[in-house]
Amino acid sequence: MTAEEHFEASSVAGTAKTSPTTLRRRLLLLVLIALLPAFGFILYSSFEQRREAAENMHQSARHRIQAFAADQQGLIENTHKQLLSLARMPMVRSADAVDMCNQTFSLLLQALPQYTNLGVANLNGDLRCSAVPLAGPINVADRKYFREAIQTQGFVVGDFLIGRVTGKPAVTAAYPLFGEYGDITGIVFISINPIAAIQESIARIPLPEGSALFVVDDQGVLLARDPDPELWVGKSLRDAPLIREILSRQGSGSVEAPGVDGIARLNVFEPFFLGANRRAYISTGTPLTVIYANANSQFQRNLFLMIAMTVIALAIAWLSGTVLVLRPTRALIAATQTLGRGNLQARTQLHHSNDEFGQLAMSFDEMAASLDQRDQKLRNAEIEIRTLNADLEQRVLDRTAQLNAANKELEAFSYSVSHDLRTPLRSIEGFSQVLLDDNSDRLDAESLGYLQRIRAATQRMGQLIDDLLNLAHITRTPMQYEIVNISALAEDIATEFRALEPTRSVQIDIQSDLIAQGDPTLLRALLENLLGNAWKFTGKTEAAQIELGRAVQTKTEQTFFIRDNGAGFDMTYVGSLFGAFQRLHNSSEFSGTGIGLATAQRIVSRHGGRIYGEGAVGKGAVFYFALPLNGHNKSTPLSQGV
Amino acid sequence: MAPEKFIMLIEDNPDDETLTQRALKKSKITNDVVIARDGVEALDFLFCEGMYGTRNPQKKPTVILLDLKLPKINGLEVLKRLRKDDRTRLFPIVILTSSKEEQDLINSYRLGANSYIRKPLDFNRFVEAVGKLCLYWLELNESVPPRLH
Repeated sequence: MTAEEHFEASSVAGTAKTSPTTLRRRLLLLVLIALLPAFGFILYSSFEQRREAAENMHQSARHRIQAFAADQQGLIENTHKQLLSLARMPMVRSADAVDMCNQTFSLLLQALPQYTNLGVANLNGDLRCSAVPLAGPINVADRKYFREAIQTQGFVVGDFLIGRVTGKPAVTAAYPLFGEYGDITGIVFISINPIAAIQESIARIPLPEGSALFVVDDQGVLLARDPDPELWVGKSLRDAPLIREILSRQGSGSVEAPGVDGIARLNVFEPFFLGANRRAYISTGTPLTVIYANANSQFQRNLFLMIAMTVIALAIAWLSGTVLVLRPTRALIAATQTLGRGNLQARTQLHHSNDEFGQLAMSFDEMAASLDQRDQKLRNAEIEIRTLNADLEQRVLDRTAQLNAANKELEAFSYSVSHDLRTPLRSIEGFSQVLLDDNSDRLDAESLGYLQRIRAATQRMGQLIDDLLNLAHITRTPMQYEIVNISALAEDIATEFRALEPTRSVQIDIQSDLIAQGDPTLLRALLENLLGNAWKFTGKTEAAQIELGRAVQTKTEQTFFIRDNGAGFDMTYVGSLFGAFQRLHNSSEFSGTGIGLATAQRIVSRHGGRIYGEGAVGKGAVFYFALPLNGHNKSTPLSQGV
Repeated sequence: MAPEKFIMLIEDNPDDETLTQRALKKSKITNDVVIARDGVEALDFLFCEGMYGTRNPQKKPTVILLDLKLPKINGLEVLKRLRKDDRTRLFPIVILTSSKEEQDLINSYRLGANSYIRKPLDFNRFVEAVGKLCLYWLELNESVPPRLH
C-alpha cells in the first residue's frame, strides 16, 4: 500500500481529510498575499495616469480658452478702434451726410463680415445712418448701449439682443459722437454678431475627440457651441446643472458634470467680457471616457496581465504545493496513522533531507524504528518467558509426577508396614505369652524376665510402627479448614489424660475462648502431642502445672503456648528437638518413641505456621506454635515435608 | 435340630492361625473351626467348588473371620465375591487384620463387612478380643435362619 492509498483509505476518519485541503488553501492564500503589492502598484499607477491625463486635459482646455479669450478681446478692441475712427469721420458726425454715411457703412459692412450692422443714432435715438437699409424710422433710445454711451460718454458694449434693423442676434458696441463744443450729438454703433464671431473663433480651435466647447452669457443663454451649434445656440439653459454651476462660480474653474447633450465631461470654464460690463463664460469639456481612455486601457491591460500571472502563480503553487508540501504531509499522516494502528513497520518513505519535512520524516522514522526495536525486544522477552514458563510447567509436571509416584510408593510402604511388619511382631508377642502361660512353672525367674523383655520390646516396636504410620498419615491426609475451638479441644484432651491416669494430680490451666483456623483432626493431634508431652514430663514433678494460652496475636498470626514445670530439656539440643525419633530423655526415665514433636511440627507447618520450644533441665519447657489467622491461603502443599 | 455352629477362619499365616486357635480355646470356645489358607480355598469351600465340590452346601459357617492380606485372592476380593453371590450374601463376615489403614476400613465396610477388628499386638488383649467376638457372633447374635439363605 502506498502512502497515498493509505491516506485515502484512512480519510474516513474525517479530520485527516480536511487538513491537507486546508494546507493547500493556505498555500494559495500565501501566494495571493505575495501578489497583493503588485495589485496595489497597478492601482496606484492607474490612478497616477488618470490624474496626469486630467491635468493634461486641464492644460489643453486652458490653452483653448486662452486662445478664445484672446480672440474675443481682439474683436472688441478692433470694434473699439473702428468706432473711434468712425466717430471722427465728418460724415458720421454730420447729420447732413446721411447718404454718404449709408453708402460708406454699407461698404464697410461688406468688408467686415463679423459685423451685422453699422449705424449712427441721433441724440434722441433715431437712426440717421445704417449699413443695412432701414425699412422705416427706427429709434434705439431705449437700448442699453445707447443710454450708456450717452451717459458714460465712452465706449460701451450693449446687451445681446435681436437687432431691430437686421432682425439678427447681436451685441452692439457704441461710442458717443461729440459736437464741436464737446457736446454729445449722438452715437455711432457697430452691431457684432457675437455668435457668428464666437462660432468662427471656436471653430478655429482644434478640439479633441468627443470634446465640446461652448460660450454662455451671464443670463444662461448659449451663445456658441462646437460641435452642433444649430441645436443649442440662442437657447436659455439657465437651469441645466452644468450652466447653473458655471454661473454660480462667477469666475474660472472646472466642473465634472453632464453637458447639455447629456455626455459626462470634465469642463473647464473661464469668464470673459462681451462688452464693458457684460460677462460671458467659455467652457470646454472633454468626456471622461476620452480623458481616461489611455489610463483605463492600460489599467485593463495591466489587470489582465496581473490576473493571468496570478492564475499561473496559483497553478504553480498548487502543483508545487502538492509535490513539496502535501505529499510529504500526507506521507507523514499516513505513516502516523499506520503506526497508531499498531503497525510498527510504518515508515514515511520520505527522503531524509535537511529541510523541515526531511527532519520530521527522519525523526518519525527513527522513533518508529526505536519503537519497533523495543517491541521486538519485548516480543523476544515474551517468547523467552513463554519458553521458560513452558519449561517450568513441564518441570512442575515432572516433579508432580515424581511426587505422586513417591506418594504412591510411600502409601504402599505404609500399607505394607501396617500389615506385614506387625504380623511377625504379633507372633513374637503371642508365643512369648503362650510360653509364659504354659511353662511359667518350668522356667526360672530369669527366663521369665527375658520373656517379659521380649514382650515389652515387641510392644514398643508396635508402638513405633503405629507412630510412624501416624506421622505419615498426618503428612498425607488432605486438610480441611474449619474454625476450631482450641480451648474446648484442650479441655477434652486433659479430661482423657485424667481418666487414663486418675492417680495423678496435675493443675491444668487452659485460657478460654482460644479460637484458631485449621484442620480439627490435625489440631487435635497437635494438642494431644504437646499436652501429652507436658503431661508425661511432669510425671515426676510435684505440684505439676500445665498452662495453655495465647502469647501474641498480630494481624497475620497468633501464637499459642503450652508451658509445663516438668523435666524440661537442655537448650544445647534444641536443634534436634523436632527430629523424628529424637529423644532428649532416657527411655527409662520417660517412655515414648520420639515421634511426638516431629508430628507436632508437621502439623504446624502444614498449617503454614511455626513451632519452637524453650526449656531448661528441671525447670520445665514451653512450646510456642504460631498459626496464621487466615491459614487457608498459606497452607503448604500436600507434598511438602514428606 | 439346629445344625452345628462352626467358625470359618481365613488366614494364611500359620502363627496367626495357631494363636487364634489358642485364643479361642482360652476363651472356652469349642465350636469347630474350618480354616482356609488363601482366598481361592476359602471361596471353594464356601461355594462348594473344587476340592470342596462334594461338601454339603447346607453347612454354613456361623461367622467368617477374614484376614485381608491373603495369597492368590486377597481378603477384600473374597468379601466382594461373597457379597455378590446369593448363597453367601448374608454370611456374617468379620475382618480380622493387622492393618488399621483407613482405606482398608472404609473398603471393608463398603463391601459389606459386618465388623472390623484390628488384631491387638498384646496377645492377652487379642485373646480378649477373639473371645468377645466369638461370644457375640456365636451366642448373642441371631443369624438369618438357614432356610432363608
